[in-house]
Amino acid sequence: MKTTIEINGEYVSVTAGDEDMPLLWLLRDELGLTGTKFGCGIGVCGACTVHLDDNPVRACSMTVKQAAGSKITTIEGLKDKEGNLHPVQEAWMQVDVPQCGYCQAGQIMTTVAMLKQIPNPTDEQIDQQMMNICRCGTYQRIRKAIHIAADTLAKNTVSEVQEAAPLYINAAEEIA
Amino acid sequence: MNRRQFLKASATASGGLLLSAHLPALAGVNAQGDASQINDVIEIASDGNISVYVVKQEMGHGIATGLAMIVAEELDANWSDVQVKFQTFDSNFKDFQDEFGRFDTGGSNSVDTEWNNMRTAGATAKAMLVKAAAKSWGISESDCRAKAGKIVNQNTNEELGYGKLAAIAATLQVPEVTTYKATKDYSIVGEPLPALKNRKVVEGTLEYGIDATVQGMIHAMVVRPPHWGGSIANFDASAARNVKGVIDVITLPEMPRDWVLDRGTRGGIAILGKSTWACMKARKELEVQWQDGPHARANSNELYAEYDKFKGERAWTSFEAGDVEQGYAQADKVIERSYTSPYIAHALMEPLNAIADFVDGKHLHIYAGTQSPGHSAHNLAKALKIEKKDITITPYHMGGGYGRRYFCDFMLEAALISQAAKLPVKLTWTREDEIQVGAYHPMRKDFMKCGVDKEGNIEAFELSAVSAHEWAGGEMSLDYGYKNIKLGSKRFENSPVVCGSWRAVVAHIEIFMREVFIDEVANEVGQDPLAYRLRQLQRPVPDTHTHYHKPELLKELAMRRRIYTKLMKEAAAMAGWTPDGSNKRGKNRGLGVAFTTYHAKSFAAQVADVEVIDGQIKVHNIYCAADCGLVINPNLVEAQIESSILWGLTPVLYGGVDIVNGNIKQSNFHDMPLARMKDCPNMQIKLFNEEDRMPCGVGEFAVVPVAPAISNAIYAGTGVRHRHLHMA
Repeated sequence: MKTTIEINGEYVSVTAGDEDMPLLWLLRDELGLTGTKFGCGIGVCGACTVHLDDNPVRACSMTVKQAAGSKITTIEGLKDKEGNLHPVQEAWMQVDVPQCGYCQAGQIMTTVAMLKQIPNPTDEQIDQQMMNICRCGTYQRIRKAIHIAADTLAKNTVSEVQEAAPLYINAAEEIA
Repeated sequence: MNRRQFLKASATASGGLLLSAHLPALAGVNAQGDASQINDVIEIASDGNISVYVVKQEMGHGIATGLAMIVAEELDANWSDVQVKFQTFDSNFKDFQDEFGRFDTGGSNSVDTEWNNMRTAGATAKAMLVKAAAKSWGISESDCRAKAGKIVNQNTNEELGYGKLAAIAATLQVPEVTTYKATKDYSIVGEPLPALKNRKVVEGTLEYGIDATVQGMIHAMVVRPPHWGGSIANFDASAARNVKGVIDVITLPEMPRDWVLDRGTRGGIAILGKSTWACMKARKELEVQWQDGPHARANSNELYAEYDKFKGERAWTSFEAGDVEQGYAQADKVIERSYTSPYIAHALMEPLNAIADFVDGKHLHIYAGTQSPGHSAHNLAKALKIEKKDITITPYHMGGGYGRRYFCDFMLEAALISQAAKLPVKLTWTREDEIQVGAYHPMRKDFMKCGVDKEGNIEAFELSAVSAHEWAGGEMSLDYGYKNIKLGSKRFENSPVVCGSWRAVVAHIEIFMREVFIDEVANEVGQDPLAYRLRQLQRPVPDTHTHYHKPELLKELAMRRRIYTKLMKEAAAMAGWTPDGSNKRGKNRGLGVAFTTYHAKSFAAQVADVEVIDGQIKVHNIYCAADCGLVINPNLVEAQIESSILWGLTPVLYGGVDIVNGNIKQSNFHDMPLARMKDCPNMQIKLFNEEDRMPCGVGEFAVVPVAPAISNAIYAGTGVRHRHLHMA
């Protein structure tokens, strides 16, 4: 039985007999994508967070079989095609969030997914959504970086809308 | 033994300058003639790139960036040209044989022990570049000035980059440098620069030990007896061997340990496989019956009662002056309390791991994140009965150190498996392993007693500490005034688990208990806890002590008290608390204060603003005023304080680990929770350098005031007093 998963834009085949392997170990041991981290193995700490389509999932608690046919994005696949950092990664740099850094890929992936669902989160929403553990306690900086990233993403969206607007005005003038 | 190190210059193959640090050979001892190398310090490449070699280990506390900044400042480098390189630990280094060498990182002592080494290296390199430029232009050195990676000819404004000058500098004699830049001229040190490694962290490309691979390696995991002293009664590995990818199943012996620093290993069953997953899957298929060890019936909740039997016993009296019994007899009031703190696990985010190549059983190469390459190699040599000179340790960034990665047990296991398998082996611990096979923060109970006069001043102060670890009783030292004092401790010999260093170590527990006790004394004599502390800090102490500290400690007292007073007032001001003003902030909400020093180097005072809502503890704010001497990087110092506050908060809210019938009850984060985003208080931090001191370490000190400030705040708000570290 052949299993294919799209990972960061590339199609990967999984050998028969490994379907019950957690996605985490496919990424780390088979594909050398070690940015996704092993922290607890039971889906509680969030260090292994990746995106399945646009949703955050814990790679340690999802089998390769469950991921079959899906589109997976890992931390290594977050940059754009030109190699620019994602606004969440930029915000992390601006605030200098990481200390030991081990949990941060998971924190970033969770944040990116959260901001797609909740573009302008309140502190209370951040408390509820950001369950990832950071043993170095960088939470205050993560919170600050989330607000900065939310702002940046909102401005990017606005500028996309503004670029579209002149067509509408021209059309209206023409009608008038 | 403090031989003065000196620097040596050499040219690199690609036209660069390499400065390395050497210790001169001991007279009449070393027949090497020339001094042997300690380590590379600075490399200036011909393209202008500067590598600063760091011997300390990076666990997220920013030491690599900090040390590089010190070099870059004295060197007048362009910061964007600077990168850090970590040294492999091996027998090339002169202090290789030292049991505790320069590579070993802990105790918050890295920045103050490396400060002069790094300053001198930077200043020396700059002096050589100036000389090289002067030679190149044919002008005098006094007409040359260093600025941001270039030497400028003051007469013509011509510039020569450091890269261009490196090869010439490498031919020059190394000067002795004894003067350094004035702090007012600093443009790098003191700046809130980001940590150098963080771009790789956010991209997911920073390599930790757990990410490393070595050609030809196999994987391993170990199933261990559930408690120290347990052993295998019998086991059946047939199902485990049938798991796809499993190579072999072997037994590991228990290795001896001593109770001070070498943790040894429990032994057990090692599963060897082609992948981490194969090993993880196979260990579930293993059928084992364990033989109970002597601690099989231990229960931590019964141990506190055991500790009571040792009240008053002092195997080690660290401090004594006057006669406390006489003090009590003369006192107006005598106050007695006891405090407890549980065993606590480390829970580093990166589970322990190591790659070992010990194929020939004689030469060992370890690839691992470790706090102590030198000390680990020392213990590995003893345990494996090989020469320390035949051990090489390649270090990695650690996903957390916190004192746990100071011990070499996981490396020892990897070495034994590699030797048996005759292959390089990557050993990975699971989260369950990391929680249940710990070097725990010790369980401790302190009995404290105080006699006060009619004004509430301390006449007599007494501590009797019982701890599962022998480090206890030494942190009280001199702070508050008293007439008579007796401090001592006893190690509880029958701990069912092994203990070790946990961030902030002895001070974390000892000062928690002292700062809660002082608060209780203040309450008993009807004085505001902030005002009481400030007053008692001005009280005299007797001249005569029997203690293990240096006599200089008495001279230090005046400085400590000045700093404590300043920091407490600042922290209180941030919180809006004036001495003799109210520390209540609302129904069930109050402020509490605590202060500490860490080894008399860094100082912190914190005020906690805590509310109890429907029985739940909510820490709203922590206000921290800190003095760690010269601040190398305020961004990184504040980060360590934030980190320390969260570290101190976790056991207050979530406790430690329990021992039930000999075994650690907790196994993962579902039953051993840690502080998360929702628990994070609003933290305000102010940094001071009141006494114009040199830089001091910041990795641990700010952990200490958290728990007592919270206990004191809860008392102020609710009248409920917590005397156990786990308060929720």
